Parts: sequence; structure tokens; C-alpha cells
Amino acid sequence: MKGSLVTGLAIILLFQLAGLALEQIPGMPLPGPIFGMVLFFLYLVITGGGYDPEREAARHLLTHMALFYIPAGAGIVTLGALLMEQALGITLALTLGTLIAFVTTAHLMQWLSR
Amino acid sequence: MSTLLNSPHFAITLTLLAYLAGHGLYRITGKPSFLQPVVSGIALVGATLLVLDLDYGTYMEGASIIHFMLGTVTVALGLPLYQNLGLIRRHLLPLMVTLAVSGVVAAGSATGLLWLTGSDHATLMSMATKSITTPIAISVTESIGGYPPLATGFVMVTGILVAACGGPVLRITGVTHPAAKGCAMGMIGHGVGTARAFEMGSETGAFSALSIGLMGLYTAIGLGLLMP
Repeated sequence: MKGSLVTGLAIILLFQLAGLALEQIPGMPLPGPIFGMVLFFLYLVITGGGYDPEREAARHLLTHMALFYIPAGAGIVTLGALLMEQALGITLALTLGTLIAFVTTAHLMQWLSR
Repeated sequence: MSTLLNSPHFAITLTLLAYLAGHGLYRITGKPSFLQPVVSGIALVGATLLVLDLDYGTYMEGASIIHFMLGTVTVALGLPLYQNLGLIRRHLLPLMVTLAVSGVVAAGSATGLLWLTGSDHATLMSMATKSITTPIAISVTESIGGYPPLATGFVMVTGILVAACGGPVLRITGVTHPAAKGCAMGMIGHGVGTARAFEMGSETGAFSALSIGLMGLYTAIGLGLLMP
């Protein structure tokens, strides 16, 4: 069980590595990890769902997804001045912008699904 | 003492403890959407850095192993996308048309409003990824010249707004179709909106879950092509 989790993690890291390799090709429009996601998805499609170790490892990672963005998010402490300076624009974009996009998406999908 | 506080051991332990504390707080308070574990986790780490007067760069260097795993989590997002493949196939055309419009409106309305008030390039690029799931948003914003911490903040606020106000807005504007409700919650509110969408029903939740990966991928490709 423990051994299989390491196997699963190694498999997912291989896809991440392959994604980083693809990113090196000039003109590629995607960051490496997202290439990795696409490759992992294609692998699951081709193998009809993959195997227990990598599925189990992926589930564990996704359960604790929030942990992994704490270091990047904590950088907000360095951006206080910028937030103050652009408070109006940021507030407008986050509230009104989100409302416009939300209502558009819901109504378009409802209309198309009639 | 200061060597200890500037060590990777401290950075990693602080991050794990802040995450666990955030989770505990979320459970105890009855899971309100504004207290997402990541919000309180980030707040706890940020407050600790400010109170102990520690340098963010040093902390980030120490916690870089955790930050590295963010890429691994992004790869793992291929799994929920695969699990919803059947649903994607059955609703392919409406999904693709909605996605195509939704991605442009989400990034366009937010950056447009921000641009009107006179903003700089890096802040605009951090705003462009506000409706996609955090791991993808951080990768994308890094590659198009935004600030990852700012992008993370924008993503979280957007998700919380969608989770908190999505239900009433759908009701007031007359949206009843589960696929439409799910797409709006997931394409605009990513993972945070999806948690709320599952409470509205399993079909709504499934559409919301598949929307996270689709929107992330589509926005990443779109911004990658527009902002090389």
C-alpha cells in the first residue's frame, strides 16, 4: 500500500517532467505542469483509466491541493502598497467582472441546453 | 534563533501547521465559504512573517519543496477531467461554445474594468487568471508576467464570491438547468465554486467539476497564445 503510493507519485512526477520537457520547445503556449496534466489525461484515456497507484496518488494530492498554494499565496504580504493603490479597479474587476461572467455563462449554457 | 527562523525546517513546518489550523478552523465554524482552509492558511503564514519580521523571499526558498508540488497537483487535475469524460462527450457542443465565450468574458471583463481605472501590466496579467483553479493560475500568471501571490488572491476572492452569491444570482436571473448552474459555478468559481455546486445537486456538481479543468486549460492556452 505504502509502496504503491510512492509508485503512483513517481508516475505523476514523470508526467510533470515530460510536461517540462515539452515546455522547452520554443513557441509552446502552455506552462509545463499544464502540459503534464494534458499528458496524464491522455494516458488515462488511452489506458482506460490507468492503474490504482497513480489514481490513488492523484486523489491524495487533490485532497490536499490547498496546502500547495500557501507559499505562493503568502507573497501577498509583499503587495500591500499595490493593493491600496489600485483598490477601486481591483474591487470593480472582482465584483462586477465576476457577476458579468457568471450570468453570461449560466444563461448561455441554459439556452444551448434547451 | 534567527538562523532557525530562516531555515527550511521552519518554513515547511509553518506551512503545514498553518494548513492544518486552517482546516480545523473551517470545520469548527461549519464550513463558511469565506473561511476556505487556504484563505486562513495563507493569512496565518502571512501574519507570522509580518509579526516575526521575516523575509518572504527566505520563507519561499525554504518552502520551495511545497511550492514545487503545486506543479504535481496540476498534473493530477487530469484525473477529474478523465472521470467526467462521459459527461463532456454527451454535452460536447453546448459545453465548448459556453467555454469559448465564458473564458473570454471572464478574463476580458475583469481585465477590462481594471484597465479602465488605469492599471499596470503585471496587475492586469494577475487579474486575467482569476477564474481558473489556483495551481493553473499560478503557472500561467508566472509565464505571462503577472504576480503569482496577487493572482492567488484574485482567484480566491473570485471563488468565494461565486460560492457565496452564486445561488441567489442563479435564482434571481432564472437559471434552473443543472448543467447551466454547474458550468457557471465551475467555469467562474473554479474549485471553491464547485464545492458549493455539489451542495446544489450531484449533476450540478459534476458539471462544475469538469468545468474547472476545461476552463483552466482553455484560459492557459488562450493567454499563452495572446501573451507570448
